[in-house]
Amino acid sequence: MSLNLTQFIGQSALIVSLVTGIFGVFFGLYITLARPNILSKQFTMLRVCGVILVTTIAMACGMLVICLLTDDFSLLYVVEHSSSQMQTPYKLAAFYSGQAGSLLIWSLVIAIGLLLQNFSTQSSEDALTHTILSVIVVLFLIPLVWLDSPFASSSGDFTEGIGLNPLLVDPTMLIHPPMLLTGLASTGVPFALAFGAIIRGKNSTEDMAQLRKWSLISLLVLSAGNFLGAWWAYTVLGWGGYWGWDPVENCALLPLLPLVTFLHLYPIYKRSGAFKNWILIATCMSFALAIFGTFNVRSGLIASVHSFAQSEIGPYFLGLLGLALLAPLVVAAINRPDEEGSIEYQSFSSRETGLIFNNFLMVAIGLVIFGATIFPVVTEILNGARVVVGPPFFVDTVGPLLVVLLVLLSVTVHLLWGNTPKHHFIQEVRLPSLLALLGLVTFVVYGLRGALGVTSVFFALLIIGGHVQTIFTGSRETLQTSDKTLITSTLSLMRRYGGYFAHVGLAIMALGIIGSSIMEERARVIVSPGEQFIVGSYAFEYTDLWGNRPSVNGIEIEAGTNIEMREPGSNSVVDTLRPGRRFFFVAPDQPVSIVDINSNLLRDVYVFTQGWNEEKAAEIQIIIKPLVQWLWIGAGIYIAGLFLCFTPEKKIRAA
Amino acid sequence: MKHFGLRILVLGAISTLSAFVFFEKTVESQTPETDVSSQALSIEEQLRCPVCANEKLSTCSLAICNDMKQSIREQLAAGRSADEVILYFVESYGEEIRVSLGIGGVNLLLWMWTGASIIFPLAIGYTLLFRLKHTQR
Repeated sequence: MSLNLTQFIGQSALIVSLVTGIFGVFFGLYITLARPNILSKQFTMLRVCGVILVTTIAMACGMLVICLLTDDFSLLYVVEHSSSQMQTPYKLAAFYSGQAGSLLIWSLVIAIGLLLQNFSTQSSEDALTHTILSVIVVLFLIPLVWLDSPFASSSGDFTEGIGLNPLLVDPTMLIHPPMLLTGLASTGVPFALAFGAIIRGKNSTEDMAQLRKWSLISLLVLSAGNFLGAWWAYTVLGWGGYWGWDPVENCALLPLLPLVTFLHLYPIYKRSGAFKNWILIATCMSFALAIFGTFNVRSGLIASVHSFAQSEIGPYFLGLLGLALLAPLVVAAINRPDEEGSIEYQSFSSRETGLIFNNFLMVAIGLVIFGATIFPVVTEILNGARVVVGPPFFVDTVGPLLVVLLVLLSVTVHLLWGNTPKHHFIQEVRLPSLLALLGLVTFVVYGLRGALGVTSVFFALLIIGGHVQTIFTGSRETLQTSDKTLITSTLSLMRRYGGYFAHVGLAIMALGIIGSSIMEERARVIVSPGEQFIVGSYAFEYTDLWGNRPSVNGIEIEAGTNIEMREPGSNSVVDTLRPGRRFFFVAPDQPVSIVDINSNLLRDVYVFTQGWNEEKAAEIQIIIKPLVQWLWIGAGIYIAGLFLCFTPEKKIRAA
Repeated sequence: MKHFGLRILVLGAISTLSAFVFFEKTVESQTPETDVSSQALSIEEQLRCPVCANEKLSTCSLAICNDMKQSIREQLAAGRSADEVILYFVESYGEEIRVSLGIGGVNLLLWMWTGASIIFPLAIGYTLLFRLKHTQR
């Protein structure tokens, strides 16, 4: 079958990138083994490899984008994922909706990481990092060239494509998947740095600082990807939740946990040199879990063991997963580990206790989520029937562990390095506790019930109060010992406070989660036009049906209900909500929900409709979710906090 | 005596909160559940769609789920209790129809894994801290 020009350029670019990657592996290896004193000319060669790699993969991506934008249905990928009726942004979204597109993003992100790493330092040790990153890129390019090329020709004479998966036709989908894929792929760089250090058997403080920087980048992007996914689930899926403990969601969450572990052990390492080897292994595990997520989604294993068996790429990814998981462990076991510093541990009531305990708590949370995520596969292998593990299991098991995490966060910020005198701790915790207690009373008055909810709210409020107090007192103390103003002394401590802001963001998110789950009011009614009903403190009137034919993005019909929302006893309409259903040409019997939400800072009124009959009687669900907006606000503060962690450490000039 | 008033205030707040927290179920059980629709919704929340992956019956709009929802309403109207309705669907579709995971059978494996996943890391963490403390001494 003949190739058109874009196909030819795209396929050729992939082959050139693969060859360059393989060359990079061997050249990096040669420098690592044979030339410990690296010459600048040789390092320039490595950089050229990186530039060619990024350019050719970007070129392949560009060619695929051109094919999607020009509706080139001679490509199988365009037929399967796009359609001429789709708007331009959704044609771009079709890029990563398939397996080949997402593998291209993986390759591009890791290649960019390799290039940035090459340009940031110049030593023979970095040649090893280059080698490992090149191996990873090559391993992702191999399936793109041989197993699942995005430039494969379609077998028929197609004039139209199937279009995007209906669930992906939403603006959030333009940013959530690429963000998540970038986050998952970015874990490859800290993996290469950590694995390199394990292979060498030694690493410097500068190496660990590099590792911290890249782990922070991965954590930031992955977290943002997860938050956007939660937002998409909330606004599109029409079940009123934002996190369903679905295997795909769990797979996106798991790589975060080792990164959090590393970043919280890093301060101990920096003070004493302890936990170095554990930090390196944890960083490697993050990448292995990112591969596990991709393997889980792409191999068909989530759907069934049988789809995995039929998948061409499944066994390949299983091998890749095994390699990412076992290689660092085996090398660490063979190599004599670098001497670790010894921690000066004086007392249980010290900051070290909080940070170390956090590490083991993360391991526990990770193992529970991992076990429950693969359990359907285990049961299918054991007795042929898949046992789906739903949200109640996670709420019962991970929920209490997250409460322990809140307790830990609220206490650790007040603990000192080495030993914390009792009177100091009581003095520090007194005001935040009192404020948290008052805040809790307010929550209880507004309907909070249940031991888990009450405990979580108290400690979340304690975290907020405690961290704000610590930021304020820290800045004031710095102010007293320097010639800066309060604002500039606070800014000078932004790197440390970034972590505190992230904790405050998490605590605010916890309040949003508890408010919107434990305190929610849910009702379902079947009503005819003109009928009124009351849910919570609002009256609703279903006035009539609405409908239109957008004829874009594969949508055949959009239709739904007009619902007027009023304050009880008042005739003035607060809002007219228009929940409905979106029917697609490709799957007319699988409509997608159109959710409508009336939001303010205290609550969301979340409305969706499940259908209507010929007499226009409609089934409507209304969920009043208190404080859910605080989940998104907290997420924003958390992300802002992570950004602050990138600020360089500044020395305070004494007055 | 300096902080006596403050302590009384804190104790009072804790006692009031405890009353709210621990008497929650008693208060709830006094509310008669007469509304069939809200009872039906509560049952739908405890059952999953037999076709979709990990979707609750309450939010699924497939034809089979609409039939199941109709059946729930009819059974409740006929005077069956919520437990009886759920049991009816468990007998028809198996234990997998429940959203919550049972403890027996193969599920025991997951519960054991979960127990071990929590106990072992935390025990190792405690042992490590304990040893570190005594080594320093």
